[in-house]
Amino acid sequence: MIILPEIFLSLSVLALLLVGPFIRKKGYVIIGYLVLLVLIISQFFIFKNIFQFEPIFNGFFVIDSFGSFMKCLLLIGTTVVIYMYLTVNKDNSINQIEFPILILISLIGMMFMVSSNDILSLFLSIELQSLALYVLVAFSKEEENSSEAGVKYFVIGSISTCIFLFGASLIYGFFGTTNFTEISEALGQTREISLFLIIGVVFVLVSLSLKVSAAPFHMWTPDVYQGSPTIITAFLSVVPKVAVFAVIIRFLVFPFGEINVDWGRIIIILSISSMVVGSFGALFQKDLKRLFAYSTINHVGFMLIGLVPGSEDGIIAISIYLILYLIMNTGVFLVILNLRIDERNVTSIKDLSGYSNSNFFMAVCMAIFVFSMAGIPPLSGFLGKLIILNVAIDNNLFYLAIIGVVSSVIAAFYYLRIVKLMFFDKTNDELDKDVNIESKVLLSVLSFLNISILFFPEFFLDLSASITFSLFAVN
Amino acid sequence: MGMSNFLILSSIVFAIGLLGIFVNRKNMIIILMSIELMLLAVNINFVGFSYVYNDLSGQIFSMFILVVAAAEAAVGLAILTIFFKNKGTISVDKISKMKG
Repeated sequence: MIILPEIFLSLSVLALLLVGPFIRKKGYVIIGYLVLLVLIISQFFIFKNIFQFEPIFNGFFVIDSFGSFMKCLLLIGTTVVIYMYLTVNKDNSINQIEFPILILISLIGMMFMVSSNDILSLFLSIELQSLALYVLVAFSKEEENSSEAGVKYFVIGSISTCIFLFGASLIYGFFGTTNFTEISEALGQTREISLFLIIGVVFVLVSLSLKVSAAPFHMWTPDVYQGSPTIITAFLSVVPKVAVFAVIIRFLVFPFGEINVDWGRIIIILSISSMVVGSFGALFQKDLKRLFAYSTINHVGFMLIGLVPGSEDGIIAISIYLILYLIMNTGVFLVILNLRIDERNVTSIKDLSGYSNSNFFMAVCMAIFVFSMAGIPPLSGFLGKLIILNVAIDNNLFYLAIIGVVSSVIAAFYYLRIVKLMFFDKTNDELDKDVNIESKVLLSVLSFLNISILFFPEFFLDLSASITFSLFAVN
Repeated sequence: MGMSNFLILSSIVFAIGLLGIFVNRKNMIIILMSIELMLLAVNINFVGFSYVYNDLSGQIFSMFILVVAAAEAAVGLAILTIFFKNKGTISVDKISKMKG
């Protein structure tokens, strides 16, 4: 029973949907805690066989250590988000039993996505994930912004699906099969790579970069991040990013590793434009969620550098960066969730002014996360940037390394602006001062991880090396 | 029947669908229709290749696309209903509260 976690999750979604309507009072709290329990149990199931390798369902899916590791990250991210939903959230419009269940459904989609080994299964799992996410983004029914973000996300997501399918049909037309293993074998035997195949791969790549919000396909990101409920913004900016990155890595490195030169150029363009857009776009933003949308784009550009050579060390660097990114981003969104005026969430940057006077602990934590994102040395973000730049220099991609450094210097400007606002500006007295103990605990854990990871990087390097090995062992 | 015939057909249908999304400024429903058109263009491709290679998996793929298209239309219409309740219109020009 190697796909026990997925089966367990799917069955518990059905069970929770059955139980949910019968709970009279505060159904969402009970369902939320049950979802938390389900997530922790399936984490154990995955840990049990993390180093196994096995194709299942006639090569439809493949369970390998790379996929299992990414599933662990997805589960941890979702667990933190559900925990935040149960303890920190004060937004009543999303307190319904469907909310945690929809998050769980989208998580199942992402877990299948990470281990899919066929274009058909990849397509179906991407759809499962995004259909749940469209609904989640538009969940606050009374909010104008939320439904607008939902419409935007839906249209962009559907176009992305169509483009993906068109590319998939061209790949199917070239090889006569949709299985990744068979494609990889057939590609080894073909002498000439026709334009036909390249166009197919480019179409699929465009669709995936729409999902991961790499520039020039980023235009939906700020709007959707701003409009959706903050919990969903935290979810969107971390968990689907990890899943889609895993898919991009598997899709490009495993079946199409032979034509690395062709897709490498596209990844270079995506990476450069993401870094530039991510650093310049955020300079004049007034909304915190919008700002961190651009910061996400910047990070995505950085991670894409590691993919350009298509080699093992690049994938190792990306995996480490994904772990660190998860830690930094959940922390930032936890702080944003705690910004309230009269029990109402606010997200404007101005509201942060003088935050250190009203709530010193939170301001220090926010400063740690923001410095970490900027890549200031004693914090963990530096490690990610260091490893990625190291990969770029090892593979003679000097211009990418230079653009990366310059863009992170520019990005440091808007990160530092937040710190300046919090510590040196006039105090904003309207802000609610009480922060509950649960979010303080989570914040301390995340800040501690942020500070301490840099002191034992060998552990993470060894871990990522041992998990990415399976991706290359198959070829 | 050669490969190029249905490839040209499907590309034209796909392009019409894509144009329909960008040119239309009036109604969100037209966007949903265009998306459906693009998915059908992909179906032509899959069925055609399946015919050429004499391989069933393309036709199975197109079945799955039909199912997903139906699910997507359902979710899209639901989101559109919420949007209409909040704004009182489904004009594409009015989806512009957030920008910058």
